[in-house]
Amino acid sequence: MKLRYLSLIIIYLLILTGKVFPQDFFSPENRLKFGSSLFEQKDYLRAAIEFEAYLKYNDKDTVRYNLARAYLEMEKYGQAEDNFKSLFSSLTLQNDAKFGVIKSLFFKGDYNSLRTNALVSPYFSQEYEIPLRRIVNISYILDDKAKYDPAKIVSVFPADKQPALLEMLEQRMNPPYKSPLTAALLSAVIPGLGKAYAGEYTDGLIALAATGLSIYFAADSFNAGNNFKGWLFTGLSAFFYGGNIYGSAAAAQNYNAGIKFNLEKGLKLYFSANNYFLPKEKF
Amino acid sequence: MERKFPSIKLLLLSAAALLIFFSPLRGQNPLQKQFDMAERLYNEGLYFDAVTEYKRLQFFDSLKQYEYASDFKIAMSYKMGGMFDNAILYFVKAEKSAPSPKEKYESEIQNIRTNILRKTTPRALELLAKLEADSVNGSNLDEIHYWKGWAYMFGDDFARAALEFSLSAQGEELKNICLATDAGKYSVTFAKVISYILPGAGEIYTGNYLQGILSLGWNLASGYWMVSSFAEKKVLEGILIGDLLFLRFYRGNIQNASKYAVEKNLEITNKTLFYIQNNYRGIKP
Repeated sequence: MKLRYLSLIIIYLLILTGKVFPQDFFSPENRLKFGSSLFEQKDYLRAAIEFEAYLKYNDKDTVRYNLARAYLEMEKYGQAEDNFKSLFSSLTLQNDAKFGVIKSLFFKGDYNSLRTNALVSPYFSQEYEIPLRRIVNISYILDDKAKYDPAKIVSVFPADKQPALLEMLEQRMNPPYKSPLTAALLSAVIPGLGKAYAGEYTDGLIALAATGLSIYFAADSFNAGNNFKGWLFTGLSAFFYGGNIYGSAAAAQNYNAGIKFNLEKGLKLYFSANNYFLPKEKF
Repeated sequence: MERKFPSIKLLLLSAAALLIFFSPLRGQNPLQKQFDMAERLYNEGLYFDAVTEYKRLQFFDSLKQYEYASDFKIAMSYKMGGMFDNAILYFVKAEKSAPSPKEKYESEIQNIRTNILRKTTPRALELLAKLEADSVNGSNLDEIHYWKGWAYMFGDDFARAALEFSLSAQGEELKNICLATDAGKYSVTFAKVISYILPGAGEIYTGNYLQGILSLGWNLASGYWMVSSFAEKKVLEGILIGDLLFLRFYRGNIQNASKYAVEKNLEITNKTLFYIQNNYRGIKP
């Protein structure tokens, strides 16, 4: 008996010092632990490699879900989608996985597929109904070709966010654009007026002065018999007149591009700051 | 007959023998083994894998025995892979986990070298100034001046780079290269000043002869028209020609002189850096 106890003590000591069963850093469990730590550090590529290695031994749903999330973070939407889809039969994670596919489509910018699938089987789930509706509505907002009713679109968002969002959407629906044709025509009638219409008042005044004065000096030079100067000023007048018409149309286009850019940037920043109204991950 | 048990002493001795016996069979401890594997990957130039294995080592190294070594090598791997931001992050970690001033200094120097490569010259110079102030009895000053030279060189200040290299025993060759580069560079201020005095001169100074002559011609012609208008007491006409023609050509000539000087200097700088990259055999960032 004494010998048996002593033998057990010796084996225990050996295990304790790691001589008999040294720690295997590459065992599936250790790879999972390491992968989870990398995932927390946002080192998604390395985390995905560790998760993939673990899944070869044990196809655990939570690990596959995190693998899909890692791919989503790395903007590898196809792989994210595939991994989410393989969890559709999971008892505990099927709803999260379905929502994961919709998120992949959203971040990929595939708004048509998103809108076709989000609210129907097999992607729809009661648990995620509100986030699904929100993400679909955001897809309408971010898609500049889509037509929608702003009041209806904002109704799915939290009540305190609705007024600001509605104001942005209404501005986007009716942006205060300037017509390049109107700008060009105005400048053709009165040099510089098109520029003023496009908001460039100083440029408009300069254009009016430059064109007017050069025309005046052209006429004055011809009257004085100085043809060289007359033609010089005529050339300058034509240059200013034509340039001002073209410049006015361009100014209106620039103005419109600025308006569009600011409205879209404002909306994107708004949604990004609110994390697209996505629910928090469960784990 | 009573069975005879071995004594406790004997059993403990056999345990010790077993421990000793198993050690060579099992090789090194797992952490050392992991470190060696990461080192091998690093030495083979497989930097992505090396980072993974150093990070794995850190994860399982609960006693932080390899903290400094792995922080430093992760940083080096990132640096070799051109991921300078991550490299700097880990060099700073290595500075904190360094077991001795020597290792801390090595991490700081590598941090500075990475900043030089990243072209964050002000940061590199700031770190070098701090290192210089901390330098005990002026030790390491030679190396600090050497890297200051590199920082100035990457910051396109070859005159100051040459000065710093002259203060370093290993900077002689680079000092001469920097002096030659600085001498070959065009002065942007000079190009502008001579263009103010004689339109087109700055363009000619930077080797753009045709543009220089054309510029001179346009300035003379428009200047003449402007003066003749004033001479005929046509003040408004003179102002218009002066503003719309003469001043445009005059301003354009100065701007062109400055632009050409900057472009030429960039060419010269790039040529020097290319030469150093391919022909300089000393230590590089």
